[in-house]
Amino acid sequence: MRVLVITCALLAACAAACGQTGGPADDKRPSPQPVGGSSNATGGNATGGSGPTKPGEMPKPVCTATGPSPVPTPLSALSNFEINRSVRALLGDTTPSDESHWLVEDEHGSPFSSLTQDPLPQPTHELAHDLAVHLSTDPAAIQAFGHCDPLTSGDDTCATAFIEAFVARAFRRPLTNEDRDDMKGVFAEGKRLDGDFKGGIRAVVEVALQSPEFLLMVETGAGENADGLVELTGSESATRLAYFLTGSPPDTELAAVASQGTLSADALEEQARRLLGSPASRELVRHFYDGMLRLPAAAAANDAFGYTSQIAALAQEESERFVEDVTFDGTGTFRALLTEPSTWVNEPLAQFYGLPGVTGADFRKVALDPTRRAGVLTQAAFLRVHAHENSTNPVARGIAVLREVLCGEILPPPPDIDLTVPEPIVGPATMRQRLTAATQPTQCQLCHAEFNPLGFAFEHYDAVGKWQDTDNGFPIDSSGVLTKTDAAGTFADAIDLLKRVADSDDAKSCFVEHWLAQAYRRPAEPGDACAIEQVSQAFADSDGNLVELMVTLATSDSFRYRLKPALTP
Amino acid sequence: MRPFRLSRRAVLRGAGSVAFALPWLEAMTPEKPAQAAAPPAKRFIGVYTPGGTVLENWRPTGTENAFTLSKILQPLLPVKDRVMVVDGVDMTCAVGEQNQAGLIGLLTGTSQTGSPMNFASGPSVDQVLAGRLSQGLRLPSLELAVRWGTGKAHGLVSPIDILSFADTPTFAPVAPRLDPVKIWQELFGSVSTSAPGQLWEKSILDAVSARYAKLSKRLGAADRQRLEQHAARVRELEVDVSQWAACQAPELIDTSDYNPTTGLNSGDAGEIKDVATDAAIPKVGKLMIDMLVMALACDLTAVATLMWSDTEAKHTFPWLGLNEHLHFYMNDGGYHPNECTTIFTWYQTQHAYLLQQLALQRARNGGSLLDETVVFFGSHIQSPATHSKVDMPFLLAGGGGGLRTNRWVRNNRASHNDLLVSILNLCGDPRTTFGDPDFCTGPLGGLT
Repeated sequence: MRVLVITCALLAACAAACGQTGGPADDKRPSPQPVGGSSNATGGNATGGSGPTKPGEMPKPVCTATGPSPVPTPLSALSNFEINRSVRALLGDTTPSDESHWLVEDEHGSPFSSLTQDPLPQPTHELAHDLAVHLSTDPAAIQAFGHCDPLTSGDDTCATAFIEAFVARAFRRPLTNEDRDDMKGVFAEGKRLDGDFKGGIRAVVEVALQSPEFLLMVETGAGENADGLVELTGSESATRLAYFLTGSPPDTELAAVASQGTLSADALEEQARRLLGSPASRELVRHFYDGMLRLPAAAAANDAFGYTSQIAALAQEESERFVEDVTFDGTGTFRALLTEPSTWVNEPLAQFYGLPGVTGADFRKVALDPTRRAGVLTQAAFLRVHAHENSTNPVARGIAVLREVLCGEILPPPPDIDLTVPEPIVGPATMRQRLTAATQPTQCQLCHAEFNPLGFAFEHYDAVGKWQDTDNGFPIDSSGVLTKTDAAGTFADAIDLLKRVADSDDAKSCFVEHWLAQAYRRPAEPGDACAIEQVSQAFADSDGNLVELMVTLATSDSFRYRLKPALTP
Repeated sequence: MRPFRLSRRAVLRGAGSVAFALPWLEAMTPEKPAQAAAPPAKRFIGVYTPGGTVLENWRPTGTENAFTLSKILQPLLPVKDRVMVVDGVDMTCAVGEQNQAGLIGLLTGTSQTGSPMNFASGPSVDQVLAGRLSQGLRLPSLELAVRWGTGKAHGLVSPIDILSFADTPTFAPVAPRLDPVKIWQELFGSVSTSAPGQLWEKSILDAVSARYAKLSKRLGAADRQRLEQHAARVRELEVDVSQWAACQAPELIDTSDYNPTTGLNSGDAGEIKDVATDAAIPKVGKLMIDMLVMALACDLTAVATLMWSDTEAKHTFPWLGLNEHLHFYMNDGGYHPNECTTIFTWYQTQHAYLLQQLALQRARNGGSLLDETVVFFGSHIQSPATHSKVDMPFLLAGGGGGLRTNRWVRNNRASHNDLLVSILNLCGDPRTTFGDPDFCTGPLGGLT
């Protein structure tokens, strides 16, 4: 079978790759780089093919710095999620109700694509155009910025007032004289081309919303300190903080604090705690886990299994409510995310799960059978996205646990690989038996031995996340062994595995990396060794408190300082 | 000391992730491809032609995806891939006077209320969409008609000749514009109209590029490099914009031989002929299409309708060698299927020109205007002789809202109201019923 050959070729490729490095969890660990030394922001050297590492051998980076040790932060672009929210925050009551203007928030597929890719000029160009037309044709909306009526005060006066109010908010910082002159020129040209005041306003809005100061997070710093570090300006710190914790620009209070000057660690902490009490922060937390677990899957519906598009949407809502509740209203711990035997359902979703006694469309928190379901990874949204159309997918589930929860790594295959086609099982069998047989060759096992068992742990949840006692009529074996990390050991099923993982320092450290990337707007790097160590320690000291983790990151050195940039290319 | 891991994401960005793109069984049981919902249509055009069709010369042959255009639809061949033949739709809402009710129902999905000479009891889709799509544009909608107000209409607003009805009670009839010179002057004649799109876009993007250039000087080398990449893409967009064909005033040809209000002089039976005006219909029709397309290209409006005459259609077709009026060939002079076919084929030739012009205009996102538009083509009846409204000769065209064209979609007794719901849905209006709910079962499936 041709299909099988292709599939196994890929398997073999993977296996051979693993064979080189000794296992997916054994990443190559470069030594830490000195503070201020050159840093490869993209981690591109990780893909280089340097010598193999023996299993279990982990060269550990050392945190040698005594003072602040930030890693250079590359210029970062707002994600579509952030751009949409920035526009809404900017326009406030004058935001158009029509959904068609907004950018597609498609970053879910990869949690970091939004942090490494620039917004595309064409969609942002269209968005700016649409919003500028919308705003400029509504005199009341124009006057909401600058409170100036051109009929009484004149076009130029009101253009100046509008620029001062609108552009400064769009740029998230006070305007410079150069900005003012620029925008006055833009207004004059727009007025000339379009014939009137509103044409000029339209041009200002179009240009402001496409300017790098709006679409990118521009940081030049408040000046160098004694250690050669550059402290962020108040506006820059506030902007970082607000996008980190709310996915939105600074609100009025934060902007006011920022206008007073640089933000101290104490001020950042105070503002962080305040923002974490806001609804926007809850939305950010939902969005964050959506990305980390790749939950939104519009195409995941499977009517034959009762997983309609309605259930798919409800299941996503379930997981989002769960992480929001755990973070802000419940136990608040990392452990609870992975092990809490409760969830949020409404009537249709409860019926899908077979949970009795839930009526109505409103979601409510319900206790679950703790031997069957506990934590976000045992909910339908995660399980469905990591499954085949009509069957489970232990490979996808196992890899997801390995990668996202334990930060395991799987390296690219070498070009010369041995392609061996395993004989498929003929006749009825469980998914576990079939996958085990198909991945039996040694070169397959080098990789699959690591993640197959992690996937098998979830075999009691079918293709759409419903509980199943048997698979194809056979009893299910969900037991296995995790060989890597400090969570290594045997487990009976997913619940058991997740308990191990929840108590693992390695898993917590991995979790810190996820949130660090959200805070610093880039993946973790070797130079973050000190930051990860300090933040992980504080995380452990707070018993894995999720809110405390965010606050700690918001006050960390890398969040407050930049390295002095090299000025010449 | 906790073990530190170099982020695996750096690796995943490389070729390595390919190794796991297709793990075991993935290729054998492929996941459904994730289908991004198509963005809603940005523009809507409705085209009305009188007289229905000659069904046996209209209906394609073949299968849904491999069909052959029939005689009447043959002129659409160059744009066949942008057209969907919507077959098997009945206009059951058209209760009332046999001609008037058909035109009233065509875009409203409502019956003629009370006696003949009454109008619609609901808005037409074009007027509904004007509120949605033309927000912030100069005109909510543009209604155009060629050789309008014939026969018993006497050049006046009447249920015989009105296609559009306002989106607010009492759903007042919206009269079309008739005079090509006045239309041209209003849309394109004033120097203070909207800046031509190209000039405007260039000015905006120049200013944006200048912002990038100034910022670049204040950044460190690494950031500057990143910024330059971004700025380069803005410049690419600027080059792209400069190639847009969009927005320029169409040539105002001499139409002095055409009397746009000749309908005022008409006789009930079409006995009063205006041969000069009738002979000018082709060139005036082309000018109307050019103005319609440019009104959309220049963002003057996002919604337009074009009427080829009215339900009376009591004018001659001298350029086709047909010196009686259409209603004569339909039934007044006995059913003349050959003459009707000739006339209906000519209408399709004009429709093909409209679609081709829309396809030539570049839209802001790099596609064509046609890509972002839904074009509906219809008549008020199906059969010229019996005025039957079963199996209406409807066409959809364009790519707006993810419309999947190049198909002959055969419905079975589908409701025309459902088609109107689907048109609204394609344009981003989420409603599930439209017009008289008695004739509506929800959106018509299979369009996207």
